[in-house]
Amino acid sequence: MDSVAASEIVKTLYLLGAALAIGLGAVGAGIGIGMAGGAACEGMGRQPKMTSELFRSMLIGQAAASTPPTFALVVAILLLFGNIQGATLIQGFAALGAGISIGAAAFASGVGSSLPVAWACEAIARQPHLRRPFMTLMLLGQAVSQTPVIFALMISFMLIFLPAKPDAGFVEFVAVLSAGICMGFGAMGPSVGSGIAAESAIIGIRHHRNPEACVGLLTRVMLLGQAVAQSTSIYALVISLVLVMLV
Amino acid sequence: MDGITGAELIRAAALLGAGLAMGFGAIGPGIGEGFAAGKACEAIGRNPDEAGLLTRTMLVGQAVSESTGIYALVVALLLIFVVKG
Repeated sequence: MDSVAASEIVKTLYLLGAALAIGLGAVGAGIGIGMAGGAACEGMGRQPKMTSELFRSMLIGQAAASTPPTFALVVAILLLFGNIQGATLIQGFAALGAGISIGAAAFASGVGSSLPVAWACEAIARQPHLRRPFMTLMLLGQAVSQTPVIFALMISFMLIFLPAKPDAGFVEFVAVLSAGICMGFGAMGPSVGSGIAAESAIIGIRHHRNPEACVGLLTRVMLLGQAVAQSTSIYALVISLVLVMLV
Repeated sequence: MDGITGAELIRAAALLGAGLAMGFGAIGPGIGEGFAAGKACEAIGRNPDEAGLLTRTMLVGQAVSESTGIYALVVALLLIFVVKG
């Protein structure tokens, strides 16, 4: 009875982790990519001549914004179909932590990396000759906004491939779960914040009286601001690593 | 699960608390600093001659906003390394 129950608990934890990973991870990108599509539609309505241009920009941005849920899908598939024969309880808790980590991070990064797409579509419709700098800023902003998801993916993989450790007790179970929660939620703020910075940089170029001349300056300021905003996700990564290493 | 001692419970709670402290503590500064960076970019777009002043002000504002993230980091480290149960 006892050993059967333990293996069932482990299986349950793996399934719960997979559900949280893709369940949470798909929400943000779903909302954000829809907003980007809406902004592109508005732009097409305003400037029907720009339809093909806007369609292309929208698709590029949306493809980049769907990277975080793809990571979440990879983790969910690993948790669902990975070999869990003989997995110990600590590996079950680590699987749940891995799901929370990538799920929460992908949720926020889906929103954060879609924000610049909507504003870039809007800006391209109004100022089509500035398509290149808008696209550059959009893609750069998205890349920075997705950095925390990469950290979360790293923590998820560390947790999924945690060694069996048969002598681990209650404290270790909580430690691996806590590592996942820490990285997942710690990635949320920096992702959204970097997205906000990128969308405002695109707005800033539009307000400039000589937009071509200020692209370099605004890109530098945006990257500097985003780098500072990323520092908290690095703190979360450090705490998560400490929690995983403690086990 | 019947073998959990009081000390183990305290240690586990401290580790969970560390994760929660740093995880949720990172949300505010992350969004706030991104917001400050964005507003600085908008302001530089409107008034590019003041780019130096605006960048400095942005960094000062972000540093203040960062302080709560550092509090969360310190509390998380204390919970991990000081609370032994």
